[in-house]
Amino acid sequence: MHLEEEDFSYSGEALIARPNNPSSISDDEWGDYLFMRKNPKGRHVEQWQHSSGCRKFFVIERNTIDNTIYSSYTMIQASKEIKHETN
Amino acid sequence: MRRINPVLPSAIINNAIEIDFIFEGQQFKGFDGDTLASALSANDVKVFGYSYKYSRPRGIIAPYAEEPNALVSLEQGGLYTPNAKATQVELYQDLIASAPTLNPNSIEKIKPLFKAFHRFMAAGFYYKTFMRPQKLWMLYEKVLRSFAGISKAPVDFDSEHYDHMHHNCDVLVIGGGLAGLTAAIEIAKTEKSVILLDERPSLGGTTYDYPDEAVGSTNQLEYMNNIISQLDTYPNVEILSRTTAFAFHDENNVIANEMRQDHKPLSERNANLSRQRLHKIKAGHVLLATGASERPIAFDNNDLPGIMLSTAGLSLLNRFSVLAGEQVVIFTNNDSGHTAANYFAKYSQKVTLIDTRSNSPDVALNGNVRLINSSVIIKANGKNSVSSVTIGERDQKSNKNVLTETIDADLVLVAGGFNPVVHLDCHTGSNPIWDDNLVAFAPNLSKQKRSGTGALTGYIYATDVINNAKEQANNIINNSITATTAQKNFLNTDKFFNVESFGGKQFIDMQNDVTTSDIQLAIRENYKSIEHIKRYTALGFGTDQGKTSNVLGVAIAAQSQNLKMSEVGTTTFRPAYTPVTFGALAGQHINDLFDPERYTPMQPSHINNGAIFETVGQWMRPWYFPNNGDGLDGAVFNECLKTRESLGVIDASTLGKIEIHGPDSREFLNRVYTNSWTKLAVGSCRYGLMLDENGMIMDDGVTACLSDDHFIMTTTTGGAAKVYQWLENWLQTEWPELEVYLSSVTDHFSTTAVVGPNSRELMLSICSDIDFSKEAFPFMTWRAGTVCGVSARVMRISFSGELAYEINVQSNYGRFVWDSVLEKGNKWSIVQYGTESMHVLRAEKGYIIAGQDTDGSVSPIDADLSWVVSKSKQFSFLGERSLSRSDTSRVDRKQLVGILTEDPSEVLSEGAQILNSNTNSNMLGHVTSSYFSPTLNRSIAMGLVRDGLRRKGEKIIVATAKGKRSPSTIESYVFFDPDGLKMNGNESENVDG
Repeated sequence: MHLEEEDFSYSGEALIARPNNPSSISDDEWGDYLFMRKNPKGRHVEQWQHSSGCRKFFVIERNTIDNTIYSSYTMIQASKEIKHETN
Repeated sequence: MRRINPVLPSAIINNAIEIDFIFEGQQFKGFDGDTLASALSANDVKVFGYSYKYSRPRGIIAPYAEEPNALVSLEQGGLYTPNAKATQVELYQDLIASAPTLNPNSIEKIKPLFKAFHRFMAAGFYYKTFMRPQKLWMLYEKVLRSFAGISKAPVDFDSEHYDHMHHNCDVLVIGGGLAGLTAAIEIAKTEKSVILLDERPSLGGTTYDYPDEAVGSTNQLEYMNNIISQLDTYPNVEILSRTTAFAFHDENNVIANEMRQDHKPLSERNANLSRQRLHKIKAGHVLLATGASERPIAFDNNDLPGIMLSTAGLSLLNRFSVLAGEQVVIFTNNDSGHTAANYFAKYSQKVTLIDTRSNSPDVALNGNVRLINSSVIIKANGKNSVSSVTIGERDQKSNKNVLTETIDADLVLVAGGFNPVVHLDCHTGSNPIWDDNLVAFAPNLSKQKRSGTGALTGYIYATDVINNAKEQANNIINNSITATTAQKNFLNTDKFFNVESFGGKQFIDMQNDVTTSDIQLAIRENYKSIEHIKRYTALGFGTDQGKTSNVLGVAIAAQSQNLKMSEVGTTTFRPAYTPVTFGALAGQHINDLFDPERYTPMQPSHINNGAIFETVGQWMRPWYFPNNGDGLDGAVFNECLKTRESLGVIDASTLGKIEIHGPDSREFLNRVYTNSWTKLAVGSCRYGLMLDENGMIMDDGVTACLSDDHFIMTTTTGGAAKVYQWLENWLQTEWPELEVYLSSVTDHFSTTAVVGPNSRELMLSICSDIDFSKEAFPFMTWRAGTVCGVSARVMRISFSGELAYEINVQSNYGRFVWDSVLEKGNKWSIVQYGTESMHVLRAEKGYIIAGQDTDGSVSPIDADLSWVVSKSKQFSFLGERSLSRSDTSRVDRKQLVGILTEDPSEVLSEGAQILNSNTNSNMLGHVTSSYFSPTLNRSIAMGLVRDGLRRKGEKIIVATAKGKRSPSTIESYVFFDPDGLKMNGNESENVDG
């Protein structure tokens, strides 16, 4: 079964962890968290929401060139199974 | 030209059914099965229009969708269709067609004007000539457009309707020619679901044009008819004819448009059926069988009517039984010219075959054909159509031609080789590859779950096509896709694209009048990349998208620069393959179905009470209530004054409402709002400011504490969906440890807000179980009770500075409560007001509207809302860290101020620029809100001004786009009742924030 893409909404690069103690980090570090994204041409781990459906956020790995979707994860799976690479 | 009688067995026309139609005001007759082009050709019409730059006569040159010249307009009024290709228009009884450039008046006007310019009208002419003075460009453009050789844009609303359909299938076959049909039936046998699309009315592709070609003991036409009747027996196959796959998107999503009624007489069109249907198909595998289209060879005067592609001549002959000429000259660089010569030798008086090649291998030639090898057509001669051609012998080494003879001709067929129809394959970003074997750009086909067959991949002859289609079908069945283009030379094509010019014009792109010398000029002027050449000369810009001209243009660019074809490459093919009307793309998403409209339960009352509505997001909200024919200004004046004097009421049901439940609700609110929620008591409300992580104001609203673990949050009307998603995002992705549940309850409760000094009196008259005394029910609290007999939550909050109560009831009772309040309120001359008065009342008090006075770059400090920002919360709330970033914490940011004009009657434009009054320049900021205040009897405005908080009293100039300068002063943004005395209505009371 296929669901229409219109049912989903994109919500940016996945696994951007919010710093635990924002007041203790520098402006540069906070700026990295706010603004710096990989924006790759190719495989990209990103967050989506099933916004016209169950409202769950989830993670997929998608090719930004041709939209091939390699895998999808619940948020919990994603946090355990995808190793987060720092920028 | 003449219709061959009896009709050829391969023809799809039925001469028992005559069809009357009108072209350019003249009556004609054709037959059932004709296209407009074939019927007109049978009537000896050769000129279909005049070209747009040089106004040269033009006729049809192509068999189908590639046609650049014969553009026609169909019907009138709501049925008007611009720029149809006569080669694709199916004839129907009483069809009315006109050719946009055939109108004799317009031609007479154009001709003398453009004659004078002819020798200057090379590529880039428009850019160079009409760009200066720039002010006149609009005039130039208007005049030029009327000469542009294409139909006028429709002016009437499209009276027909359209719909969309979604499909899933295992295999999508695009193209219903021999290849597509053969593959489809092989796959159908495996019970996979198959959809086959074909743009023409009858399946079979070009088999009708080459009916004699043998397949085993039969011919390809019979073979093909046999497959079609077999296909009908497979329930797993869906065939869509008259359906053009015009876009191929990622993941095998193909969009196709089906012409459902365009071919029917107007009187037989069913108003209950859509005219066209857009099919959105998601396919497991896509097999492209889109065929190949013929390209011309350029020679001088190659645009004369009567000169056409050999496929166009064969289509007229074998498909429509129309003989386009008696004295036929065929100019070829490959074997297909020989095939064409054999067909024409059966019917025409004289057939001459000019072949660029020195010997012609594969096809046996009819004895009546005169073959001239190693020769070219140097130029065509004739006035309104071709009458003869001048032939030259080709010197293979020097590429010079020696003039040999002139041959009379009323039909010239050009066979310049075939271009695989690679367009769809390119839509997803794979570029075609120049193949020296094929002498053509071959499809890349490198994407997953996609393959090609038939002429697209270099197979032309029926036996080869069938074998290849079966092989590709089996590859799909066995899931073993392999490389696909034919390895042998495609029709022994000579790599020959254009004849050396003898000083005449050689047309490459006939729709845009682009010549060989235009392309050479572009290169001399350093527009060398094919993408630049395209844009400088307009090569391939027309409604035909250069289907006949592209490869020729590439070839000339390659020759001129001594490059290989592969080094020049092609321009990018993008959707749509052929033009699609906007109606089909919109489908049913028009008018009322364009976007949902949301109504509050009070809507019927608002309509009865004469409200004028405005849309806020998807909501229809009363904008104002024009009493006694008052316009906006009069109504707002009345609504504002009466509310401040006595009593007003507004429907506030559209505000977003989110229920927050769970033991961690307070902690959650602490994290998403700037202020503290730890101690908010049950029964109290608090204003909250929500920031994004950049520290900028995102939304605001009041949240009430219903019980220790249960809150109800309100958001702005327009921000509700975004806020809800924002909250869900943090809960699900970052803070799963919080036990908090969110529900959107915007539609579940309706809100009647009663506002003004008499609102307490009104509440007392409709609710007896709540103590409305100032001590028992202070500002920023809520109480449960029964209002007008309905269970309600009453909140004492205010967006006007007046004493006010918001009555929240279950939505079913919303209209009843609203109507009851209006009736009871008569005693205090109650006035209902809309969003405009709400804006004025709040601006008088200096309350911001998030999204109007803020724009995503305004921090709480900028908006002078520091009092809402807690400095002592343990968790770093969203956006807090950003407030101390160097840019956010600098003092000269744009800040919220009030603005008063010197002239109190002048209302500034929202968005107007604010300038330093000393320099009359130096932009300081802009106006965000501006109204005439009835209460203050003068204009008021708010704005964002650099370092504004420190500029109070400073003179500024407000500039509008039209050059007006309004001297003004920066003031406090609280224009009315700065001490908040009115908050308690008629009782005096200390304000408890």
